[in-house]
Amino acid sequence: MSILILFVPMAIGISLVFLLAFIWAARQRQFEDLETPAHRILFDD
Amino acid sequence: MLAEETSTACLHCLQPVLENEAFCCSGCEMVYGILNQQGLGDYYQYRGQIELLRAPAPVREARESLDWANSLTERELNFYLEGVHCSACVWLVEKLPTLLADVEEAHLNLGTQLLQLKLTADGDLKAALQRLQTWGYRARLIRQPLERETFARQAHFWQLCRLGVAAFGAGNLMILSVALYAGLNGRLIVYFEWLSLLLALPVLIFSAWPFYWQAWLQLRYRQRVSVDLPIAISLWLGTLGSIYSLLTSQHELYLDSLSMLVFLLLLSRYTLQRTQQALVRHDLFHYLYQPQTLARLEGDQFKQSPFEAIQVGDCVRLEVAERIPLDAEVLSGKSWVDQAILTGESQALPVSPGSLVFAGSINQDQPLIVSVRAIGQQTRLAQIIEKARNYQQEKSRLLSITDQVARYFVSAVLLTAAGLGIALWATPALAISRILALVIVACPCALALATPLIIQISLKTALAKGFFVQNAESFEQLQKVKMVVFDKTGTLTEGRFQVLKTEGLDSESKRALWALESESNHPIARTLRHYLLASGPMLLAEVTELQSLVGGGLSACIQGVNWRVQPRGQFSRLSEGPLAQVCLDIFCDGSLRATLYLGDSLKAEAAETVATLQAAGLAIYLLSGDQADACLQVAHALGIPESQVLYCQSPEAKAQFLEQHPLAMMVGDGINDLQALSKARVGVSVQGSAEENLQLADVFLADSLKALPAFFRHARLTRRLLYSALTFSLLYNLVAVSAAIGGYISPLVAAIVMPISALTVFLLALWGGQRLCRF
Repeated sequence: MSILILFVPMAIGISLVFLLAFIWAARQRQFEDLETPAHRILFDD
Repeated sequence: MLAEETSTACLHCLQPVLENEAFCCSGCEMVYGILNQQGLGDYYQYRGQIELLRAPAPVREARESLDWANSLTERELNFYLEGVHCSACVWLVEKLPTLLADVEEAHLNLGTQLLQLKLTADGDLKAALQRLQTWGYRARLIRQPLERETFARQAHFWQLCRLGVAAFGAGNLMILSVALYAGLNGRLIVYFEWLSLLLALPVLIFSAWPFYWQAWLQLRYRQRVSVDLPIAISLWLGTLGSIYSLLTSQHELYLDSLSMLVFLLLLSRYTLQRTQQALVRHDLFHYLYQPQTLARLEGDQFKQSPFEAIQVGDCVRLEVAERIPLDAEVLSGKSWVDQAILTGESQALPVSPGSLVFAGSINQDQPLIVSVRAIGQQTRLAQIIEKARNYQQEKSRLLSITDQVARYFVSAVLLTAAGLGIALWATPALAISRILALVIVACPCALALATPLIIQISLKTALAKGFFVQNAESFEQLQKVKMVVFDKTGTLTEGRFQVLKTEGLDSESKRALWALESESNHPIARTLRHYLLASGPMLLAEVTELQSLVGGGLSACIQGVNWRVQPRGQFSRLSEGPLAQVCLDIFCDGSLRATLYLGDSLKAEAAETVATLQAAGLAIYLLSGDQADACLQVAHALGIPESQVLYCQSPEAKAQFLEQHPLAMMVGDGINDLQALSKARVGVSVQGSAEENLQLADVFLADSLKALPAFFRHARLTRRLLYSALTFSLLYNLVAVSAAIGGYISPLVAAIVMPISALTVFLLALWGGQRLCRF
């Protein structure tokens, strides 16, 4: 079970990467308009 | 284009059309032509696929001159685009760069209706705006101070960060806690506990900061206690207690429950806020009736000068078909002015040198040279709005039920905790652990979670049904409403001057009438022309000796025959429909050929709506600025008792009436009812565009009056949901608190019960939301 001492921080470290990715996306203002892109993708060009 | 001739809907706007017609009006035909000409026929394909996202709101008729656009040098501009309602609009507007060399980028946000326009280095903004105007959109430049925009963006960013950190911390904590609860032993316990603390601290300090800040503000400024205070207390005591137990190795940690709570609370608040923001933007109102520039007399000629530079006493020119942006006295020129927005009067008024014109009204006929009397906040329009805003603020001080419950709840929990402390005085360690369990378990989870969630779902479904609800508290207030007060003009009636009834009008007299009225700019002549055009194409006849008659009316010689149109002074109003205001006789060679009755007409759905509300036990009142007989006739037609009709009421008198009747809902239209709307317990507005009305009315019904009973039902269902969530929350707390006092709550139980209660409330809200959607 002692291996948990290593694995748990590793798991947390991986999830930390996702947190940083989320903050990066927020910084890029990807969450400001949640409605329009869903429609824009339907247009052909 | 003719292939769909048999359809019954206008090819462009899908409104019903006359038989064998492809379009409802020439405007739609023109837009259809323009789109196809420019190879944009796909617009109709996209529109067909996707349902409307927001109720189409009529764009105000006044056409704006776009000369101000030339004076702007910025290349990147933000606009608020009126008239956007579906994804086909997005497609069309974002086509701008491919159609016009002036535009480099166009980006439209459907939710907020904000358009970001980027022009090429020598691009012509006016051309782009003109194109938007021909498509039926109206762009309003947003000149928001840059700092304010950056500030709002920053706030949004931090909000998302708080949410993200809370999700990260709470998720990982849950996993660690499972191991702890499952009976981990030995050295690993201490290791996991310290890791938990490490994960929880960012959540409980950084993410939960808004709760602490709100609670501090409430204590500091002695504001009313809201649900934030008990949350902050729970979080603080829980954190400190957990750290204490970590240091003393008691293994009683509440960190996972607390973090999850923070995450869920932030999430539900964030979604509520997004829904409300999509609904209305207060900060745009300032720009609503304000042009960018105005023609001002400088020296001996008129020059376009920025609106901000105009001062009282200046001499300016008011163009035709534009909203008048200020209060002024007419110096020269004769025109008709539509003051419906201020007075509710459907008939345009004549103005001549010496008369006053007011901001918000529309100059209909000829340019006017005026001397400025008041600008901006000093105009009558601004003062009406300001007054109404003050009332609105007073009204929002009414305590909502959630806050009332929260207030009692806080005192109850604190008193119990104090009692527990006194009772267990002898054994401090036991007292501390019991108090801790009590405070944490009693955190008003359901209260804080469910209320915003239910309100958010309710607002969203309301929007889908065409009710724009600005003030979510109206759901609660509606319960107390015992009477519904209607305005007459524009609310129960169409608010438009139109031909109500004709007698003996044949094709020959129609042609004569067309010939007589085709030159005149009198509002009645316009109504008549509109009416004649609707009945078929009109040929122009040769007219000689056209002259105006003393006392109104026109006469002329048409193809050798003398025709005359004359208003009849006296006519029996009762027999000619409830709202006939003008009666016109058409004479041919001195003998009466035809008679027309003009006036306002009742809305088709008015009678049904009033009957439904009456059946629901509500008292219906009619409150109007109009004359007695018109009001009484409307009341008679709708079955409103005469004792409940008040006529000749000024806007102030209306507001006073509603102040005296605190249990009344006011249904009105436009700015002239704003004071009354804001004084009413619930103010509902039914006409015009959402942008205009949502500023001060609590609710705006986009479709028609018919939606009013449905809105009552919607509010009732929302209330029922809120109350069941509250009941559940209180029951849960009662059980949990008793258990905590008795010492039956171990960390394990608390950790299981708290997420379960949160989850139950979530599901309750979602299930209720489904029901709201369905009915």
